[in-house]
Amino acid sequence: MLKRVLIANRSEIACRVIRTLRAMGIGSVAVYHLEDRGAPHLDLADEHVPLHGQVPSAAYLDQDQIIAACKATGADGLHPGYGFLSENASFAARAANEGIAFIGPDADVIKLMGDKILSREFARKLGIPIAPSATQTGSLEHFIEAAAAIGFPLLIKASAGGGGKGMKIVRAAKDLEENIRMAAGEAQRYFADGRVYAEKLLDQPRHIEVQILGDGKGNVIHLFERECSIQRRYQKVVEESPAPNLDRKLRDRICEAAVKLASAANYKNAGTVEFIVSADGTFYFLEMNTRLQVEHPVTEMVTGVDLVAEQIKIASGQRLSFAQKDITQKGSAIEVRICAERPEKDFQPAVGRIGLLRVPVGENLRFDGGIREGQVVTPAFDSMLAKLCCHGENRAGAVAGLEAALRELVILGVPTNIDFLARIARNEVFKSGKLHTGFIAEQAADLAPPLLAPADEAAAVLAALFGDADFRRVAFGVPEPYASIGAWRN
Amino acid sequence: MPPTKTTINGRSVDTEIIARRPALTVKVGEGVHVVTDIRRPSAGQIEFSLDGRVVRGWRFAGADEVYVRIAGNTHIINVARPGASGAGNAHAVNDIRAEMPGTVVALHIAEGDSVALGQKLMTVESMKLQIGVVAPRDGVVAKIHARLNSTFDRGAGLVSLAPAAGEIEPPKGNG
Repeated sequence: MLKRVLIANRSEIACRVIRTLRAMGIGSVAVYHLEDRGAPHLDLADEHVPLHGQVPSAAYLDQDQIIAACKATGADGLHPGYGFLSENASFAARAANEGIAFIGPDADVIKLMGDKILSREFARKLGIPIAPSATQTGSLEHFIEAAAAIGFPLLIKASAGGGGKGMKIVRAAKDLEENIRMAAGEAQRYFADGRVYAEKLLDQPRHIEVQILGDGKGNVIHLFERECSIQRRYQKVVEESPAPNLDRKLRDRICEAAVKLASAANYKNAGTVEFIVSADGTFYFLEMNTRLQVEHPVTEMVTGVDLVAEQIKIASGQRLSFAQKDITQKGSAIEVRICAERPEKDFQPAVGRIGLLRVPVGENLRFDGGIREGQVVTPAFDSMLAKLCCHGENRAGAVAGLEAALRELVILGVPTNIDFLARIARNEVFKSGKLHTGFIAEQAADLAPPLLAPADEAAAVLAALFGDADFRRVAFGVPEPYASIGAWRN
Repeated sequence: MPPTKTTINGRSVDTEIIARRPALTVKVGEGVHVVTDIRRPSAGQIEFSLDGRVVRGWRFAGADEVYVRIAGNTHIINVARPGASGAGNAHAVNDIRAEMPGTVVALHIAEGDSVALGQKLMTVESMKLQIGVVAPRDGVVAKIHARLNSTFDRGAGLVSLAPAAGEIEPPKGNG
C-alpha cells in the first residue's frame, strides 16, 4: 500500500482525497499557490508544499514543481484529482518514470481516451455506437462539406476538449464555417490543439454516464449510471444516481458498453464513460474521463463504495476486492454544484469574499467543500465552491432533502447559484424526472427569481439597513438603546 | 432624514423613517411598516418583528453590498452612501465597465460604429469562461478602452458610448 500521497490539486477535491487518505492511515501532502494560503485543504494535510508562479492556476499545472514536491516529501503516490494534470498523459508517464505511483491509468490509456477522435474510433471498432460525425482530415472546405452532410443541428467539438470549451452548436449551413473557425480558435487557446470534429446534435438528449473501476489486471466492473442532463454552459449543475425514468434494459446495455470499452483498454483506475441518450432510447458513446469525476459522491452514496479508496488500492497494485454482483444501488442520491455566479445574468462567474458560511448537517447529507469564512473568491480559479449531496430512500426523498438543505445553506458575500438550484429542486418537470440537456433553457421562466412581495422586499431592505450606521443613527439615536451597535457589524 | 436610496437585486427602493416612537415606523417603497424587537440571535443572524410578523435571516455586509438571506432567498442590497456620486442618476449609461477582471479575446465593433441595444461589443474571458459584453443602449461607439488580448481589472472601462441624441451631459460632481 502507498505510504504518502501528494494531491496535485486544490479546494474541495483535495479535501475529499485527504479525508480518505486519513481513514486509510496514509500520509497526505498538499500543494498550494500563494493565492490559496489559508485554504482548508492545507489544514487537513499532514504536510504542505508551496507552488510558485505568476499565474495561480498555472502553478497547479507545473509538472517540475509537483514532481519536486513529491521527492522532497517522499511521497510515493500522486493523486491528480480532476482538472489540472489529471488527464495529462506525459505527466502520468513522468511520474511513473520517477517511481511515483500516478493514481490513474497508464499514460497510453490517458492519451487514447483524452483524444476524442481516437477514442471514438476505438469505441466504434468495439461495436459501441457513436453519433454520426465528421472529422477534419483534409482541407477546411472538405470538412465543411462532410459536416453539412450529417445534417443540422450540429455540434462542433474540440478533439482535445472538455468542459464545453471549444464547443459550438450550429443550426444552419450559413453559420458552419464561422463556428468551426471559432471552435478551432478556442481549442487552440485552451488545449494547444486546434483539431475539431462535427457531431450530430440529438433532440432533447440526456447525458448518462457510467462509473467504472478497473484494476489493470483484467477486472473491470461498473458502479451503475449517473444522470447529468441538467447543464448550463455545457457544464453539469445537477447530477444523480440512479437516472430517473431510464428503462432498466437500456440502462444495462449502456453499463455493459461502458465495461466493454474499459475492458478493451485494460483500464486501471476509476473512470467514467459518458453517453448521450436520445428520447427514443438510442445511445451514443461520447467520451471517457480517465479520472475521478466531480459528481462521484452520488455513486458513493448509492453503492456505499469509497471510490477514492479504491483508486488508491488499485494504484498500490491490488486487485479489485469485489465483483460486479456485489455492487447494488440503494435508494437515490443527488448532487448540486454550488458556484460563485449570477444565474440571472447568464451564469456569469462572480467574485467576492465569503463572509458568512453555515452548512446544513444531516445523516443523509454530504457537503464537499473547500471553502471557509473570510476566503476570497477570485477569478484565478474555477467558480465551483462546493457540492451539496443528499441521499434518500427514493428520488422524491432525495430531491426533497436536497431542497431543504439548499434553503438552510448560507453562503453570503459572493453571489451564488444556491437559490437557483433550490428552484430546480422545486420545479415540477424536474421532480417528474423528465430530464434532458435543454432543461434549464426550457424552464427558464419557472427558474427565474420570483417577484418579491412588497412585505418581503421591505423585510430584506430593513435587514440590510439595520446594519447601516447612518440609518441606525437616525432610527435609534446615538447612543441609545442600541449601543451594542458593534454587534450589527460583521 | 431624507429617504435612503437602496437597490435590492437591482431594483431601486427608497426607504424613509416616518417615526421613531412609539415604534420605529419606516416607509419602504410604497408600504409603511412597523418594526419592533430587533435582535441578533447569533453571529450573522438577524431577527425582528415586521408588522407583527417575525422575520429571521442572515446578513453580511460586503465591501460594496449587503447580503441578506431570508426564508431561503438571498438578496443583494446596495445602500447609497450620502455624497456618493451617481446614486439615483437617471442618465443613460455611457461607460461600460468590467464586472470581473478578464482578458479581451475578440472585438466586434470599431470606434465610430453605431450599435443597438443588446448588440455584442466584445468577447471577454473571465474565470475560464467567454462572455459577451453587450451594448446597454443604442448609441455610437466613442472609444474602445480595452485592446484585443489586453487584460483588465474589475471596474475598468471597456467601451464608451457617445451620449445618446438629445441627452444632456450630467454635471460633473466634485469628487
